[in-house]
This record gives sequence, structure tokens and C-alpha cells, in this order.
Amino acid sequence: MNPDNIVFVKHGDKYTAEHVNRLRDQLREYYPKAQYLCYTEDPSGVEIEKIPCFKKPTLRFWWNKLAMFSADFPVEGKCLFFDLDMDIKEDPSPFLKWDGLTILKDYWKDDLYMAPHAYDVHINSSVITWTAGEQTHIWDHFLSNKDYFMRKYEGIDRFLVHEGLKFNTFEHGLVNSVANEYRNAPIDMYNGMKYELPRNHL
Amino acid sequence: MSYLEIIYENALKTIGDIYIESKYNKDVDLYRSFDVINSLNETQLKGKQWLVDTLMPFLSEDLKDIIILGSWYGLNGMLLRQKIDNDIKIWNVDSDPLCEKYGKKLQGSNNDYKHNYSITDDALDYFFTRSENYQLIINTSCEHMEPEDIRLIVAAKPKDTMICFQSNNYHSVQSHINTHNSLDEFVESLNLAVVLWKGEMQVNDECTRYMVIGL
Repeated sequence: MNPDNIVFVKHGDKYTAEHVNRLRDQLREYYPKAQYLCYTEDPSGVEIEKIPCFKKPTLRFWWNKLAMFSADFPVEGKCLFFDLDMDIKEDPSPFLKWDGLTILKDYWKDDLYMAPHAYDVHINSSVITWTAGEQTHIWDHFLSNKDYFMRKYEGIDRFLVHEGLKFNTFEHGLVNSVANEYRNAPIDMYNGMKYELPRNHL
Repeated sequence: MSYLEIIYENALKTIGDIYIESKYNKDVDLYRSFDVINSLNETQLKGKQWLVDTLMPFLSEDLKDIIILGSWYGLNGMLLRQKIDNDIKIWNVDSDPLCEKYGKKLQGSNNDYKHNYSITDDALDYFFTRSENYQLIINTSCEHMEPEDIRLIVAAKPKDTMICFQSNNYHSVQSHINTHNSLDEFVESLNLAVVLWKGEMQVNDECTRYMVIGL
């Protein structure tokens, strides 16, 4: 099963249009028919279709990812999202599924102690699949008390888990977290690390 | 006990109650206790006391209703109450429904706060439907609000209604969507007809708090 839309979110200056364009180049090999979209407040240099960040609410950093679930987000069909610090090395299709909201299980945290009030989680939203229009409750719930959620949770992963929003996880093997022991996987992810593009790309 | 000691005593009891309830109820939100602590920390207290002390000389004898947009747990209103007549009504408006519950707990049974009201509503919706009611609008959390909405408040208020707004340059906080690089930039963004007072307070190395009083 292939995605209808491949969505990126670029906000702030941590990642550039080059990160977006490079991911598009990598993924186009496997998904030539997909529509490539970038939700951003700064479209300069982005070579795919741009979706301007909503005028309201103004959000910063990763919280903008939640706007993808809004009923006003202009996509239809099966969606596939990637964070911009990903390096696609092989076809990820065998691991992908569209079954509600599906996100990564972060295998590298399996043995980590997490106190309940730390609100840490064993999932990671660097790769997400969903069907447009079927997850609008996530955005609506976020809007119901967004300032409190942004104080309480350090990111959207914690928000999703601890607010009891339903999700599934991909089978292990989709990603290799480069900060941890190497695993053969179609995608390298630089979770939380500064991800510099290879020089030969620039 | 001083009024501050009573507020802190009520806060300790509130935090204790949250912990005790959490032992038997999995749905209790332990973060709420940390949020209550943060709302009363030294920075919050200083910023709000600064507002009260600075504002006092500007208050008129006709003052009857004050609205505080985004009061959090109502600390500002409690500090202000120490300096103003008990008959003046203070309306704390917050969209977070639990601000009302915990704001009342911090006020406790102190009769001084009988006219400090907590309202759960979108601050803007609430204000716009009764904008004529207030002689003073306080907003110490402009950094959390859309710039367009803040300008609308200023534009919609009666011309004699005073505002006292605070913001800051604390850009790195993820929920701060409307910070400013300087006091003048903040004041300019409000498009006030009259600026009665403006000033800033260094909070820490990363943050300067700005305040403006005007019409």
C-alpha cells in the first residue's frame, strides 16, 4: 500500500529547505506518484507544494506537527509523515500500514526507567501514517487546552500517549536510531541530534 | 500570617491534596501540582507585585470591575486585592477549566477575595461579549496570546478603559508565541492611544519582562 501524500513539517531554523528537498528526492524513487507537501512558515527554497502554517493558532517547533490532523489541513487520502532528520536508504514500504494513527515504537528506550510523572514515552512520531480526516480529534483535543499541554509535555509524543489518544505502532525494523547500536533498517534517524546533510548533496 | 503566607499555605494544601488523591485515582494529574508551584514561584510573584505597585497610582476612584485575561491561578488578583477596595470586582478569565478550581483553592475561605471571581472561558470571547463592563484590563501573559487578538482587545475596549499588559523576550519557551525584542517593540505592537507608563524588569539572563500601562 502506498501513500497518497508525503508530508513534511518545517518550522524554525533547525532544518532547512534542503532537508525537505533531499527527503523528497530520496522518497520519490519509491513513491513517484505521491503528492509531496511541506507545512511551513518559511517556504523559501522548498521545491515541493507548500502549505502555509495556519494563521491561528500560532505554534512553535514540533507542535506544528499536530496541525496535520486538523480538519482544515488540505489533504485527502493516505498520508505519510517524516521528520526532517531522516535519511531514507531503502524502500520503507514493507513496514508501512494505514491503520488509524501509526507511529514508531522507539526500541532504544525499551530498558529505560520512566517515572509516571516524567511523562516519558516509548513511541516516537518521526514517522507517522494516518488517513486524512480520521484523526481530527487529536487536533481538537490539543486546542482544548493547548497552553497547558505545551507546559506539561515536552513534545507531541508525550501528548499523544498521556492524553490517551489511540495509536498503533509500526513493526520493529523501520528505522535505525543512529545514536544507538546499529540496526539494519531502511531509514536512519537522527532523533534529537543535529542532522547535517552530506556535503556532496549541498 | 501575612496574605502571602496564607496563599502559600493554601498552595501547599492544594499540592498535598493532589498527591494524596493520586494514590487512589489514576486519572489525577500530578503535573498540576508542579504547575501550581510554578504559578507562585519567585519570578511570577515579582512580576505581578511589580505590576500591582506600578499600577496603583494610575487607578481611578471610579474603578468597579477589573478583568484579568489569562490569570493562571489568580495570583495577580490576590496581590491586587491587598491594595484595592474589597468591593471592586476582579474577574479572572482562563480557558483551562482547572484554573478556576485551583484558583479558588488558593484563595481559600479568605473573605478578602469574595469579589475575586474565576471564569472558565476563552478570554477573548468572554471579553468581547462584555467589553464595556471593565475600567481596567490586565494581561500578564501576552507572550502566550496571538498578536492580532491583543490588538483587537485594545481596539475593542472603551477609550477610557485602562490596560496594563506584560510580555517578555523569553523566546526559547515553546508556548511563547508572541515575544518581543524590546520594550518599545512591545508597546508599539499594541497601538495604544495613550501610553501612561512603560518599563522593564530583568528576570534572568534570558528574560526581560516588559510592562505598559495605557489607554
